[in-house]
Amino acid sequence: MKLTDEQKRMLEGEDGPIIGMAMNYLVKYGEAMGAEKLIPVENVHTVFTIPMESSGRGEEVVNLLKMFGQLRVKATTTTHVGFMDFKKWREFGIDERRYELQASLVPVAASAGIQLTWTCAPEIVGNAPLKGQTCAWMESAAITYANGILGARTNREGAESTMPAAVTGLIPCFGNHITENRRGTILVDVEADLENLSDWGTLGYYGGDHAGLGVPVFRTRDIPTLEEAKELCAALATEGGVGMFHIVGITPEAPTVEAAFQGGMPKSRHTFTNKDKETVYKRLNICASPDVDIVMIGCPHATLTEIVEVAHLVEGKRISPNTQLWVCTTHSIRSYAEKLGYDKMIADAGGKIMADTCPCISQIEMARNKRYMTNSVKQAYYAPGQLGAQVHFANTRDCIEAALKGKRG
Amino acid sequence: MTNKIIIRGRKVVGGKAEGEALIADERVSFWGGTDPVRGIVHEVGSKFEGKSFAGKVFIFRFTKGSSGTSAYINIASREGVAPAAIINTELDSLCVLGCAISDIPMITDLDQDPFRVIENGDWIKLDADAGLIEVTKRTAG
Repeated sequence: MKLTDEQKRMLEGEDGPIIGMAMNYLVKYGEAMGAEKLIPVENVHTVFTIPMESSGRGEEVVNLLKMFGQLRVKATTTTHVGFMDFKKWREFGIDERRYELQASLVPVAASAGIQLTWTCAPEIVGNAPLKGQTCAWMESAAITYANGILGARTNREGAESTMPAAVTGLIPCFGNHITENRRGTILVDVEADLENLSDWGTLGYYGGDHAGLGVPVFRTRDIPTLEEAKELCAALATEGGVGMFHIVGITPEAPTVEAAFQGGMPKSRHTFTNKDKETVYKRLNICASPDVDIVMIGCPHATLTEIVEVAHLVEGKRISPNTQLWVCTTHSIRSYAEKLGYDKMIADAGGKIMADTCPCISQIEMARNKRYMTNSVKQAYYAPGQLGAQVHFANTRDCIEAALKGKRG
Repeated sequence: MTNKIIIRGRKVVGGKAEGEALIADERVSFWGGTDPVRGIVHEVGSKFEGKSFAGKVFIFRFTKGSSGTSAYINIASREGVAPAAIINTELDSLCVLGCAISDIPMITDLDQDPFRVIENGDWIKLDADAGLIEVTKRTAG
């Protein structure tokens, strides 16, 4: 990799040992990926939280983040989810020691200029970069949203590349930063009826399964809402490892099929039918019992629109005493919901808005080994491994109906 | 009679390693699909389900899913349960990042199909810098 003289000095530690270490990470990674250079990064989505409890390395990670936090970030920097609801941590069984450790990071982030959004969906809290902007984002669902829906440019980045990118203002140039790598690899014609966000999730699962690490191009009759696009993006990186995709006539780099493939040919063509959609529903529905212990909405984090929908579905009703309803979102959106009365409508019915995290991330004890219902392909996909869950997967309306009855159907 | 096979590939992350092969024509999700503290795959339905990758030469297609992959490889490495090396037939930047930061040798672009040539339990010696993989079959062939 060719470094400028300034970058070489940074690598050698002339801007201090933290920048030296960050540059060492970026150079090792860039060289492994065959990048020829580092490029300026304008927008970073990184992780700034205590680690998972089972790693037993809370203090060590906090000290590392505090070290990075001595610097000012050189790009707009928002943060991925944490492992607890930072306000209702007691209600969800987090101990005080973990809370205090998390709290110790708040002033550090403020001093560094890091926006503690604690979300898997930065695009819904104002971090929505425009077409062509160079980003370094982690969170697989946000990466596909940034590239595909917004036309911004990021590779599939992780914790070890995004924090170095934030403090150096640099990221290795390869993959999605190069125009020709953003061309479509497979074409998916959508015949299936996409009636709600869960249906869009099944399309994402199918697209990722067939595209692998490639770039699926969808041809659809329907224009997704923001919420449907968010589910599609999340599901693309479940069975697949998609980072970039197009929807013909809708997303910024795909005015036509030809443009999506940059004049080339698809490696394969597929048709997503109602039967394919049902196959994904069947694949994810693994719970043999009709009973439902927990209903989870908001993966990726729910927008205010999704919260309003849930609030109206439960308004004046009571959730089954055998069932929990958790709507996961960001702390900022929960604040809106509190001010506007939607949080109260959900709480009066017996539900809760969980912020900053989700059960699959926090792996809280009360969510383990349950009959677990969700409207999200991504949550349904990971809950068996992360939570030992028996999963029901259905659209929002059916999920809320099950929360009210305590069982499906 | 030889029971050794030589496969050539391309270095992604340099270094030498050896270990038993843990191989399947599968995609792997480290976050959500593995326990990085114990070094075990727990993805339901995966061909690797229930198997330990600690100290093994871990051979699969590519990493899918979550961007937590690099952090989980890093956690496994700090816990001493990381794979000795990783061989992928396609490259996901997240697996590369995890291996580069944790100094886990990694090879790709093989001149033979590893899923036909290598079986679980074969002994693998590799020199990533030279792009060389030496496979000693578990059963004398």
